[in-house]
Amino acid sequence: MTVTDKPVIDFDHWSPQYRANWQQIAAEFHATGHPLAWSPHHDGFWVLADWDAVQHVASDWETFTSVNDLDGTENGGLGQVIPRQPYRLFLGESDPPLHTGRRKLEAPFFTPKALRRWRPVTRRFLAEAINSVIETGRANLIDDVLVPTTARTTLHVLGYDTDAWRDPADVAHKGTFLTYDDPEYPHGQQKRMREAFRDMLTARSKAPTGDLISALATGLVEGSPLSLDEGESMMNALVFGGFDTTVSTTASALIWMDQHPHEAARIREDAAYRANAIEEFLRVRPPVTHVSRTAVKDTELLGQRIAKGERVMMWLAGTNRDPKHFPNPDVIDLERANARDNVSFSAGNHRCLGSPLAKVELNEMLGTIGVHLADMKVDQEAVSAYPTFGAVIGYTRVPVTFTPGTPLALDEVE
Amino acid sequence: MPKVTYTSHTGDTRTLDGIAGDSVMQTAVRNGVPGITGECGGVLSCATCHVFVDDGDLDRCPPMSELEDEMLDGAAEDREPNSRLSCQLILSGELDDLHVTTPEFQE
Repeated sequence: MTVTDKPVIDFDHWSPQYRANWQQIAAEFHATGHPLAWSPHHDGFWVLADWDAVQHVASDWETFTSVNDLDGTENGGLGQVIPRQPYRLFLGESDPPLHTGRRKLEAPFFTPKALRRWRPVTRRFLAEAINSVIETGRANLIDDVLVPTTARTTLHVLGYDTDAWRDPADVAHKGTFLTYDDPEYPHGQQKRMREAFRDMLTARSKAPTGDLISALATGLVEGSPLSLDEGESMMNALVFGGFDTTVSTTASALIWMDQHPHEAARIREDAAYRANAIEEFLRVRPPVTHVSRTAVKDTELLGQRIAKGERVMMWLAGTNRDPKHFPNPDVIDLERANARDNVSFSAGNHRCLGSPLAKVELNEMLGTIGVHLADMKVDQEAVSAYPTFGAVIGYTRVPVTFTPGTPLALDEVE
Repeated sequence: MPKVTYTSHTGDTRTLDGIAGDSVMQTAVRNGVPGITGECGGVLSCATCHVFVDDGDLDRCPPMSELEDEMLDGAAEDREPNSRLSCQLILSGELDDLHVTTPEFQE
């Protein structure tokens, strides 16, 4: 039987209540036995946290579109983010066959063979970041270590000047927890960064170098080259996708490890344990809060009628706590057998292309930061989280102290 | 039920009853067969479900898409003429009793 009345939930992922209580909100939502309800916020949307239903919504693109139809010429889709963003993500906010063609340009840069090239790059940038603080005995892990490591690795993969990481890092960092209308929003840096992206796309289209920017500048999608808008948007998404997401989960894990020294030691020493621990950290501390779809026809989900034009938010953070899929979901069990079923990278065709790179970075950072920064202690009282968790659950400050050491020898980057 | 036989690079063999409509990758992951990762869940974006299909079974497999072909180039272990990404091998009445060998590395 299809239910047409809407069960309602007072759910606003941008609110202070969400930031303070999201885990409890997830537990209560699942306790209803029907984790699909209508939120009246942000013009109204369905909140979904059922693991099986999320797999279905993420895969059935013919019913649930990712398109952000800003100029009203496509299918009326409202994009991947709630509230709707005025800047279109041409990879994330598209459906097959355009999505398949666009993704194909980037996919070869994230294969297992490609990752063999990126691991030493991450290691090098991590060592340089550590060296910038190692003699001082104190650091803000976010700004001093995690952001430069992930930002420079992503820029290296792109083919962007890795020493010019501060603008993109600032844009990705502040752009993640500030809304467009906030006076602190980095509009200036964003404009500079996007202009630089366009200049590079133009240059690479004339003289390709084999990097990701060249692939975007010269590749064909459905027989046509990408427009500058499309190329710029895809570079922009790689920056947003590759910086603060990985930083956030790494920071969450390091904060937890500080409070659990026994497990922390095992994470550093045991590679198999570390790999599963990373999956569990991703499950309980997913960086990305949600990804949204729009129904392009009337349909049914978990017995509930969903009308054409309605948005369905896949609440990734809540889905990772579906007790039907993850028993005792609030318990952090680093040996949880199905931890890798987390949906932190989304699911279906739009599942994060960079997830293997994120895991390489997490692996390097969780495995070695606590070794290089000897006796590291997190100042838990001074940890400062993002002012909002609407897009990403992350941190602005994670201050640490450690026994000062001598700089690490730097291996050559390929 | 369609059967799949997985042989590891060291020669360990396991035969599973699969479900028609499931892929060779899904069947392996659900049953804990080592040697297949399937990081992306089957959407051709990770190349971590690389297998070598027994030569006698190769002709029964569906044709390879351009994207699968391209992704196979990036697999951890170098591809061979009988290489496939097992997320693209969907079990059915026709694709039954399939024999594959898993590579030593997927990552």
